[in-house]
Amino acid sequence: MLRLGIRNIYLLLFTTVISLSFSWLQSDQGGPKLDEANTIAITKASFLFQFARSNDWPNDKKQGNFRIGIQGNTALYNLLVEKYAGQSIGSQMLEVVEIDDSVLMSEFIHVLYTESEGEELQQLIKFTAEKPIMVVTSVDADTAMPEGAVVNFVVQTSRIRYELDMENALKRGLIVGNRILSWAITR
Amino acid sequence: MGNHKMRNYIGTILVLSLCVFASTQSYSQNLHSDDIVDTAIDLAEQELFDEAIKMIEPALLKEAKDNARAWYVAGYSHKEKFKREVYVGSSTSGLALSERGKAVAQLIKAYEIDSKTKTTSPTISSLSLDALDYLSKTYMNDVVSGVRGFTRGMDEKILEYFNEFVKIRMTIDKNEDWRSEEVEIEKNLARANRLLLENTSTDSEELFTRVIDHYTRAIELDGDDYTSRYNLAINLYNRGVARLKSIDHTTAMFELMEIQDACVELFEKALNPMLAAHRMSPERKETLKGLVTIYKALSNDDESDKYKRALEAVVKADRE
Repeated sequence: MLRLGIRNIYLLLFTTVISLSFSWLQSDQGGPKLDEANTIAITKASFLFQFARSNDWPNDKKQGNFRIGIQGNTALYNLLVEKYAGQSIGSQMLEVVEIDDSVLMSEFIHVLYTESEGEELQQLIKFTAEKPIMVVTSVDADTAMPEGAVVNFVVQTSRIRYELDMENALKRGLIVGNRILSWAITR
Repeated sequence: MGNHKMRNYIGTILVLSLCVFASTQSYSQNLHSDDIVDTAIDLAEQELFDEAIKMIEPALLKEAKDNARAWYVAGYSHKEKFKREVYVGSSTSGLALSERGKAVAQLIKAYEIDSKTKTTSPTISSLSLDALDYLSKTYMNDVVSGVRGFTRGMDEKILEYFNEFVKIRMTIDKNEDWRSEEVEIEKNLARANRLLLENTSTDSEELFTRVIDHYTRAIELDGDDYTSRYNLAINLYNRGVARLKSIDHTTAMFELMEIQDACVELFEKALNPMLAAHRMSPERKETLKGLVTIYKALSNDDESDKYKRALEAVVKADRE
């Protein structure tokens, strides 16, 4: 009788332990958290660095820092600073600049990324025309590449790709590298 | 005619003799087998389990192969040896695992024979089930301990323990359903592998594959499980983001293109489970946020904005 009682207590204890174990398993502790990094900005930043590294600028632009100017996209600016600022572009050090007035700043810039559209973009392109500045735009997929831009980001099958206007590049005295040329798309 | 009668007579005598001989043999075998079982029980009662096993196990292959008591005493002895081993070491040591495995097999056999024949003591069935109940819980205990102290590559072992647990429970009661526990185990194994992946200094495709496989299995087991779908989507999406983040100044142009392709593939894979989770719980903020983010990463601004508006509406309704 005593043995039976002890056995029952033991079984009860064991069952409780197992129940607790189950409840531990069932509590979904520490589920994965959504990574909220801006994936579009990461991709664009990577491309801009490739454009800086794989193209060639006239000799008078090979002094001082190599500057990538970002207009209208703070996330992109932050990512470029975080990942690439201080890297070497040939013998120059990469500097990333966030600019409000791209027209005024463009003189000091090698690669200028802008999200401007319409009149503002036209003004910028006019001001920088034939200057050794790689103007990179990013317009809607159903809009044609802005006239006067050298590179334009487009979305193709959910991927960010770019189109290239070689004529504009040459007019600006830029030598587009083979790698950049070979991955450019046409629409 | 006389010869024919004589032949029939001799034939009958021969058959009868054979029957008597056979029954005598069977009786003497049973008698012998019962003697062995009784001796083995005596030994087991004195806690001389090795001796009991040495006595009974050879007989299980021959004269005691259909004797429920014999199988029970063998299983009981192995179970006690397992308990001793646990007391001095661990339930997952090689010896403990071997003892427990044998105990389970022999106790199930004892229960099966006893419940079929009903010729031996009715307590053998219930004693066997009690012992099996105890052993099943030790397996579940090992599952929980395995998940808690998870180390790389333990997945199969943990699932093996769980399968043993279910096998025993099915013997005890065919109507028990342990699917929801299996779903939880798969989810916990996915989580354990993800934590290893997050804390490992070198990337591991193997760990990521395990995470995905465990969530996929959990969804197969329970198509209505929201968490598995949501977590699967997040893991796929985060993997894509992690790959994008791995791009740096050393990445070549062709690598950038390859990485982007791989990421988009992962984002696309994440979309279906996230949409499925959303259908299950349309007002859930995390899922809406997930869809906003995934569509954004796929450069589908229209869809992203649609779910952003839905999310804002839910947040607004919560405030009111």
